[in-house]
Amino acid sequence: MLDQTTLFSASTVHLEHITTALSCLTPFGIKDDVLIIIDKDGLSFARQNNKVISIQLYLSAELFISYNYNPPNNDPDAHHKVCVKIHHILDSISVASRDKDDVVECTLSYNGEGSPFVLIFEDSVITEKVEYSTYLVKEWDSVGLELQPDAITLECIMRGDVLYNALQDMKEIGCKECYLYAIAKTGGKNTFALVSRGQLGLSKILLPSEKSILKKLEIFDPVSFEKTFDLPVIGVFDFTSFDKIRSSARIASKVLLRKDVHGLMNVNILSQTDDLILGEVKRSRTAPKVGTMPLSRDYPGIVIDVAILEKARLDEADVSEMRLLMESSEQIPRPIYDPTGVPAKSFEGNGAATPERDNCLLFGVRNMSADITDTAAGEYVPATNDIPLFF
Amino acid sequence: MIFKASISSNQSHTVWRKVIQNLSTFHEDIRCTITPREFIIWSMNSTDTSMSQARFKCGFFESYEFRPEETVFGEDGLQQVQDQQLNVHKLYSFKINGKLLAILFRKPESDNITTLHLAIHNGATCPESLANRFQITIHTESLMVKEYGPNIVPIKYDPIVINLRYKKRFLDVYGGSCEDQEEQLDPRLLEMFKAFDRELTQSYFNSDILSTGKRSNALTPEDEINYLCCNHQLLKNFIDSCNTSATEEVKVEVSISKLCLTAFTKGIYSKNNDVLRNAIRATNIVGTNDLEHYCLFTTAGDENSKRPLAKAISFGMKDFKNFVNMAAFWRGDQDVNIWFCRPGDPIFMELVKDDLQLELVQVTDSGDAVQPMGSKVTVTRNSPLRNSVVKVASPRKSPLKNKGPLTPNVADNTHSPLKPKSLFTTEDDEMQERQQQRWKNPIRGKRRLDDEDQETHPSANYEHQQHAETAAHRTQTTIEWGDGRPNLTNDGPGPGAALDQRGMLRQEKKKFLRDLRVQRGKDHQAQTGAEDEQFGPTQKDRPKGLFD
Repeated sequence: MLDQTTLFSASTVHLEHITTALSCLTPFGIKDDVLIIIDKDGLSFARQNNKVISIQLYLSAELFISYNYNPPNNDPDAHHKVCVKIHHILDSISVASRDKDDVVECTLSYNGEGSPFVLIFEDSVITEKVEYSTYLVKEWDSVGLELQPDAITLECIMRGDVLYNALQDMKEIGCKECYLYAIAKTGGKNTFALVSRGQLGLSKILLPSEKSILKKLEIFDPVSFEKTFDLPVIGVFDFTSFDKIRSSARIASKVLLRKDVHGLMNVNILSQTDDLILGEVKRSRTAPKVGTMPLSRDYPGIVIDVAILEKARLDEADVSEMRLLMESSEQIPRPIYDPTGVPAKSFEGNGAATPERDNCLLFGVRNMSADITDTAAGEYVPATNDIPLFF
Repeated sequence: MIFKASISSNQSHTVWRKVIQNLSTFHEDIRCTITPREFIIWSMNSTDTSMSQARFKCGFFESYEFRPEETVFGEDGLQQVQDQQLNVHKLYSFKINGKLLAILFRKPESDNITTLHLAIHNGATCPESLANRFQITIHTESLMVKEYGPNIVPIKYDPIVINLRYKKRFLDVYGGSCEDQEEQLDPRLLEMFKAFDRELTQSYFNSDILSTGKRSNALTPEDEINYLCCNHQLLKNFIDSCNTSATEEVKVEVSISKLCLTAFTKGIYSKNNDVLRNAIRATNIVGTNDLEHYCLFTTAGDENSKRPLAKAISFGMKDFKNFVNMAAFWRGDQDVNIWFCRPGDPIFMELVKDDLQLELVQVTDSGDAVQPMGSKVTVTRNSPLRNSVVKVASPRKSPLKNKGPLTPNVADNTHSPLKPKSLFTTEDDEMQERQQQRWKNPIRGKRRLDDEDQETHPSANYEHQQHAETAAHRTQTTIEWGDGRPNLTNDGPGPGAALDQRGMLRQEKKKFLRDLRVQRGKDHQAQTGAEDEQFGPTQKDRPKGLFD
């Protein structure tokens, strides 16, 4: 119904998919403007909050049945920007898709500066047209939120649902500050953990280190940027910001986390439509829609790119506390799982105080030797020295 | 590590979670006490009107280690108790935020907990950051490992021993007479007596309960305790059937023949009789046949009133509902033991299954408490009147249903109490029969005597010889079988009936049995064939054969 001369028009029937995608933007401010960048490959929805966190969500042109972008001079690099409020679009879509048995075709169009952003919903009986004013155009400002690719200290690929579960847990226990702890061990055993500091004190969520879930974990030396082992990378984030990626992680199939030496973490989320968890559930609940078209084969899925700035640089106390937490807990569950383990055996079984102390001194020494490379090792000495006071 | 425990089975996780969740509804803080034998979690609401306690025996846990002697940090939680046998037990108690705990143990979304480890370090090697922390490690099916360390505040355990107190009193009142009447008691009830007795003697906190010594033989109204044991499902049905969101209180009313469970809300009216809040009331009535056991404490005063004796007590709905719903995770049939005394005294409920014991204590409404007439008894111990007025008639019944173990019974050749209840006697018949029994019962017939008492009462100087005759004997306790008990067709006590009622009862029974046997013989001849062909009311007298 739109002529081919409009600057941009695209139509789709995958409203549900678009809703799912756009709802990832809502934690970044539902009533705020989102910048839509239109170019020949698709639509990017971008938003940044207070210059500490930004999100870009990319919907590929393959999602649309028809996608027309006619830049003035047929310039292949041309793009247009338009600002709309994200909840307006979501509300309109949810209103339009009330009839579950009908296919709703949605057409988006925009005719350049000064013209409204138009959504047209058509089902078999009704055609609705919604226009949004587009007075404001915010310039995209990503200063400080761009990853420095040659100064990366952590690169990690994992499955999205695991990250989502961990974030969900942290939210529920009332996390205030969130630490990210990652270490690649020489033996091939990698550890990726999220540590929460909040009402409960420190809580730790250890993500599975299995290759099928934690697909890749690489740590780079902060100076030489060479791959290194047994050196943890610790990041600290304000949980209210970090939690913003939760709704994106929910639909993610794969998450790529990268952190550079300046304390910027970049989270790349790919949501492949076939293993999109939320979609699966929804689809099975509402019986297959009549005439629902499968998403195009070429469609790469939703791509979300989030950049989060670290809250503050860690001080020594934090680092040592974190290490202690990670190491103490590594040793605690082991006796239960692996009662034949040597340290566990020596630790158990003797109730007398003197051998116990010997053990613990050994224990402390062992800890120290493990940490000898780090300045934080100094933190352990008083702890072990304290012990005789109690006897 | 002063404490270490783990739970692995899925069912146990559910139980653990439900219990914690439920207890956290009482108060922000829940209190835990670790003993060498069990892990006790309890919580009392802020107004001290209800308390719930869950006791996990160490068998509930896959592994359970408790080494209080290693405690270095948080020594405030360390405590020693001495039991009756003068054994000293060490305890460690702490309080913890219940809401948080409930969140930590909740079931992860689309995942399951595989193992759960609980620990308190607080030992000599404990790092500063782990001191006074309840370390929880959860391993889930999706291979996530979650570790939490909520803060604990070491406290001293203040055992609320209402449990033991009530059991002690219960045994004193009802259990004492079982030696001489053993043959008449349901063996299952005796079993329970034994179990309670065992629990009393084994408890860590029995020192000041058992040491009070065996009370004197005479019972006073202050000793009142009533006991009810019924299937959990019965309470669950009640909770499900009444509108629990609109009702605030529950009233349990138990009489010889029926148990009424009433959910109600009192109406509120303004001065002009405008309804501010509507009154609502829903009652479930079950026959006492459906109860496992019940023991009622009755005084002479109750007996005199026109309406059949009933013990009623009312208490808050909310916590009761939570308690009943909490126990719903054992889908099987568990028995709930309920003890209550006079209105105003707390009601105590207990549910025991395997390694877990759930308890609920709630204060009860004393508003409409009617003082039993027996209460005119003075508290002075040497008053002769005291004994004469109080009369214990505890119709200790325990319908055996059809699963009771066989015991030689005097009525074996007649209506055996073990015989399944005849299906098609109408309820009315039974009620009538029961009423008749009630009033014909020679022991109940003692009313005359009480009347006499009251006549002579104004003269405060009561003859001592009379005292000897009318003293409340334990032998006056009526012990009746559940259904199908022999219909005591005795003539009631003649004016000159011997006061030795036990002897009289025996005599009557013998006579009755003889009569019954004769009657039986006659009946049997009369309806030899007919009996076999009796079917239910909906069935035809003669079923149609296949080829008719």
